[in-house]
Amino acid sequence: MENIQTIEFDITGQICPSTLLIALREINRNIAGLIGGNLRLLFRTDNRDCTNTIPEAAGNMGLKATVQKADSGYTILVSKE
Amino acid sequence: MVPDSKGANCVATTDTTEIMALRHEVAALRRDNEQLTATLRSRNGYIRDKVNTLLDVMGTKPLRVEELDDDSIQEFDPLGIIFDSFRHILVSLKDKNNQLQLLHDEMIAIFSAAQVGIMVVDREFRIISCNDRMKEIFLDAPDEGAVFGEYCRDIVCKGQIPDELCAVRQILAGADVASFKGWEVRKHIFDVEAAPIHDTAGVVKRIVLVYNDISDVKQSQDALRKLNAELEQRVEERTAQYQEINKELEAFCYSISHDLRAPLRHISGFTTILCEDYSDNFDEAGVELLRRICTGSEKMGRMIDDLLQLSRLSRTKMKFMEVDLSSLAETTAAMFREADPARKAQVNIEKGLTARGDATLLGMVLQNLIGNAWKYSANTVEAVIEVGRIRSNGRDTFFVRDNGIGFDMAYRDNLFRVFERLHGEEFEGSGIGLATVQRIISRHRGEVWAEGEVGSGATFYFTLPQGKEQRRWEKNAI
Repeated sequence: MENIQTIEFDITGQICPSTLLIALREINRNIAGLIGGNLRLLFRTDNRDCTNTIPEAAGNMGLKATVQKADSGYTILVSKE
Repeated sequence: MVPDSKGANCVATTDTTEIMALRHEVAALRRDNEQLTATLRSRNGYIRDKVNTLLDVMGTKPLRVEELDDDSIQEFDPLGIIFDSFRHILVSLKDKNNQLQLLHDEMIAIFSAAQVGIMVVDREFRIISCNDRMKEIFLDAPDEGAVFGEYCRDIVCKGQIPDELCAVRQILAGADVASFKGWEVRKHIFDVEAAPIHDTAGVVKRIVLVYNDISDVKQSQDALRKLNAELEQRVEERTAQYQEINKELEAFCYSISHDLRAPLRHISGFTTILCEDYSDNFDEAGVELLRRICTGSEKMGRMIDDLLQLSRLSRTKMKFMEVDLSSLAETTAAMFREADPARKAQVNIEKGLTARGDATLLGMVLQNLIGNAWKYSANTVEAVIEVGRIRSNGRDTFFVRDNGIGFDMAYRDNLFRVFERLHGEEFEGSGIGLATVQRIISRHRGEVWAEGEVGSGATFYFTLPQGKEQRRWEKNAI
């Protein structure tokens, strides 16, 4: 199985629109790895709004975002579609 | 500082001038600074405004000054982040557009090539699009412009379909699929199918209708049905003819056999009288000849009896019931033991062999097969006769096996023919037994066959219909 690297970002405490801007900045920086399928970005957040905005923006960029409920908020995993 | 021509005030004047100049310069710089600050504030405001517009598009809240002040906005560069994101979005959309275009082209190709009429209408029954085949079917002069925007009821059904059968109405009423089979219009017969196209909110936006012209299929089906009926009629007529001929043949065979018995009885009777009352008038050779005539006429009598039995087989009405073949086999084996108590033969009969059929006829099958096994294993020292069953794929194959003299497989096709005998006079028989077996199994719509090897015994197998096949046959059996 191919080794896929996951980079984690803790944006807990941040609220919109900072959460979305930070996520977009990191997606932009790592877009080649994400599209290539060898990289995933995991965002930890406690801001509920961004569980909609980040996946929608990622989807528009041709990526897949999976939201999961975590103990102290949510995780949003952005990866190749 | 350069002194002037008037002495001491010269320095002070010079200082004042310089101070003034400096003040002007500071004032100018302050003005520049204020202008630059105003320009920077304006540009930051512009950036903030543009960023907020784009953030609104992305469905999130605007930037707050307390969260990102003017100094930080330059450093964080939200416009740059969003710019890059939109660039990626555009690239992705471009890819998706290309894929959509391909799908669209494929759909258009299918739309054009389809040999069925395809039409798309909106909720108001207006035609949005349709393929060439649709136009061929429903337009007298196919003109694309004349169709789009028209109401389908004006172009296609022309009010000939009741509202409750209208496929579009069925879809608008909530059906996932609607169909109208066998719609006859313009000398054609159609099967009509309809399916909805939903918008993102799940509301039916358009309806796709497919008109499959089944006129040719219907015609073929009708022709085939007619042909089948004719064939069935011919088969029935031919079967009736064959049955009539068969009856005549059987009657002829019965009559001949029956009529032969009377003269044969005379020959046998008079020969017996000659043997018993006039033997003194014959020498030893003459007595032997008379004895041979007796034996021959007895044998011929048995053959005639067997032939009569065989001919009766086809005329006997079959009575179907559950038959215990194991029990029949036991009775048959006991009969042979009683007839020949000195004979040492091991007969193994499997328990629980049952089949559905005519008990009398199946009893005759077992009598003939076990009789053959008994007869042809007579010279075997440790004769073993087996009656059993092989069950494969839920079907039963019954068998009667012996370890007697066997037979050459090259002659297996002759086994079941009337008067065919593979062995000589050392074994008694009329050559009708296996023909009888085959006739009975055939009347049951089963199969019978044999395997064997010279000196190594023989096995006779037979099958009988089971389950649905058996019930169908029993229903039609005479």
